[in-house]
Amino acid sequence: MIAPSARRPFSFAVLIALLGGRAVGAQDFAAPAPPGPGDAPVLFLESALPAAAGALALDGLVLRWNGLDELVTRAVAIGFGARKTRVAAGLSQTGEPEVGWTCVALAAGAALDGAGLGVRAAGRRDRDRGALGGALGPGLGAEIGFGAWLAPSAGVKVWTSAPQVWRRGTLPPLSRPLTWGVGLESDPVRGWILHRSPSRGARDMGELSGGVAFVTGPAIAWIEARERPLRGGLGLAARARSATIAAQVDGHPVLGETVRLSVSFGAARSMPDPASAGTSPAPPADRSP
Amino acid sequence: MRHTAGALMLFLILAGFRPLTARALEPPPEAREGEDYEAENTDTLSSGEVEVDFGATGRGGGPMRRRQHVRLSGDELSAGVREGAGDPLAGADVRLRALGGTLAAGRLAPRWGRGVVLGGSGDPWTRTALERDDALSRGRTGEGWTYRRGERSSVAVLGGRFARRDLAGVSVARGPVGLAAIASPRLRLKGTGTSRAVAQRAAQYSTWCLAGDASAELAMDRRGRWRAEAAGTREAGDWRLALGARGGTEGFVPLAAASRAGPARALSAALVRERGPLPLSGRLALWRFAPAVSGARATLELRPRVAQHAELVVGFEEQHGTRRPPTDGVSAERGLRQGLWGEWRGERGPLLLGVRSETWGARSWARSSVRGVSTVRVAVALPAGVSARLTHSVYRVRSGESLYLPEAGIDRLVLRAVTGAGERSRLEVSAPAARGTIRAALDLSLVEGKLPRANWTLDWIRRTRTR
Repeated sequence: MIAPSARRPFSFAVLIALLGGRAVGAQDFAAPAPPGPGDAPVLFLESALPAAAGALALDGLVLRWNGLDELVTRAVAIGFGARKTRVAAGLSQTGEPEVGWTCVALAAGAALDGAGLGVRAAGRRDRDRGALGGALGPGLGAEIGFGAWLAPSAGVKVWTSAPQVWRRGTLPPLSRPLTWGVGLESDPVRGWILHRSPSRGARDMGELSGGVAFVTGPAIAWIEARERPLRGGLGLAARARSATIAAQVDGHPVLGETVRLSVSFGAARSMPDPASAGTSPAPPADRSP
Repeated sequence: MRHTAGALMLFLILAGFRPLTARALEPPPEAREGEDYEAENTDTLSSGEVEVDFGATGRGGGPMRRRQHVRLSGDELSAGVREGAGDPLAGADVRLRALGGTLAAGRLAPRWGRGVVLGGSGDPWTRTALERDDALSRGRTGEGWTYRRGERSSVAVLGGRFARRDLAGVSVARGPVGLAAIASPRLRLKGTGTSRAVAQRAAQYSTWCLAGDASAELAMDRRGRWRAEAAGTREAGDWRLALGARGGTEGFVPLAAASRAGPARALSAALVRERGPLPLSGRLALWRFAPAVSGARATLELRPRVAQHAELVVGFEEQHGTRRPPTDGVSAERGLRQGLWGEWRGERGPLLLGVRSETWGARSWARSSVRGVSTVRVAVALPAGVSARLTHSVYRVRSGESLYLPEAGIDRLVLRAVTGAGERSRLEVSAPAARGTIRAALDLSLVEGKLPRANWTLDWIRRTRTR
């Protein structure tokens, strides 16, 4: 056990490593799922990509970042929709009191026939009572971003997410840049390519990642590869009645493994799916080559 | 109904329902490197239309600047006035039928022949015989007056100030063939350290032939320096081929556009296929300003057909050398640059989504990246004629490189010069108001190592018919 006095610098070093290492492009509501729009409220809160389906859903999420017990995220979120409107709200807490933070997030948007548009806002507060002051108050930070997806034809989906277009106050633990991706589906295989722009302060020119998912009955398994440094991840999700359990492990050659686990409850949930989640059947004109 | 049409028109402008801008936009070579560049929109009014725009802008917390423009178009009279503090496009122009011909005065952009002497013939790396002649490729022009009489057999005279010279000229054309002479009574030369005016006459003469798919022009000045240029296009099935060539003396400088002289020698070729399963366009240009000051570009763009309401462009370009003439004997020579880009745009109901990513490198396959930018655009048409568009760009530009982000304004195209590492977000909202359309835009720039900077623009525009 690390003494409290020694733990703080150690944890700060870990946080700095996370900041500089681009371990993941996600933060407080990083659910185990392939990238892109999905039905889980945590995904809506994380990326501002609204779900196509508007069923009431409740999510619980636990993440352990880079194998560090001192850096565990716990989150709950609820989401629902009425007609085209989608709303989600969530609460997340990461890390121990000395270095951790608490986040409240709200997302709102609209899902149309084959398209979706959302905005997200998150407020964050350091758990350390001795946090330094900022533009919004000691240890307080806020961010606003947007996301949109569009299915131009059956089996194809394009999405983009810029979760931190505006931010103020204490900087978030991770700078989350603009991303865009393309998902393709041809049952039972789904694949995607994701482009991540460089983070603020990073010297790189962004990165590409890609993955493939296999769907079998009520379960979906996926693997993903990323560059710079080359690394990968794999995930599995299974549905039983109204409950969905998902897990994902992301490896990193330097920073270690990040493990995510989520439990979701909701009616008529579909599996996380980068290409076809919520895509309504396209009109005949759109299917023509 | 008229309001709805106006709102729809503005949404189309905002949303960008235009052909995808495939290659990266760059200002003309005479523009200063690393500075914003503004060019007039090329949209024209129909006969009998009047357009009024009142606007204001604020940049980086500075004072508000007002600007306005009025344009009208008629069979007998067309005119436009653009006014505003610090507006590089400010000026007025009028065009009316008089004395059996057409008299134009104010800001002018005339072109005689292929533009070797007057009007600018375009840079071989941006404009071939297949490209349209837009404001960006022509650059800025002069002020003065012109009178033109006749169509097939025409006579035109011109007087004014172009490229900081007083100029007068006359041209005569009969059918495809034309002759012109242009003269400057005084030429300003820069001395050592201070500027001095030298009373020196200068004159240039030109003859051209514009015959359908082929055109040629030969120009010469009083000292015997010359420039010749020819271009032609040929169609074969789905394919169109354009070839262009330029040759001449290195010291030949058009009197009306000294800064847009361009290279003395150039070869260009373009091959375009607009139909078929894989529309594409390829372009090759080689040019030389002076010995050891040359350049080359090769571009290939593919537009594979995707879904009905979507467009996709992927492109590749390789650049060598410089596109600027040597200044005081010094050339901004640059090594290899390779660029890769892809742009996709899709539309579904009221939502339009566009994604563009572009990267340039100093090694093959765009490795050793020197600049890169990713841009997403989301446009949505809301009820009651309201529309909104959000554009977000993330860029990385290494020192010594230039990157320009295009920004479509009500009456202009602005190329914002960006450097370093940063992000730029732009939110535009338009709504019907006071029998016109009000449009508000807010920019937020975040550049590493600098304070966030916000700019705003507010415009009210109305376009109406007089009859």
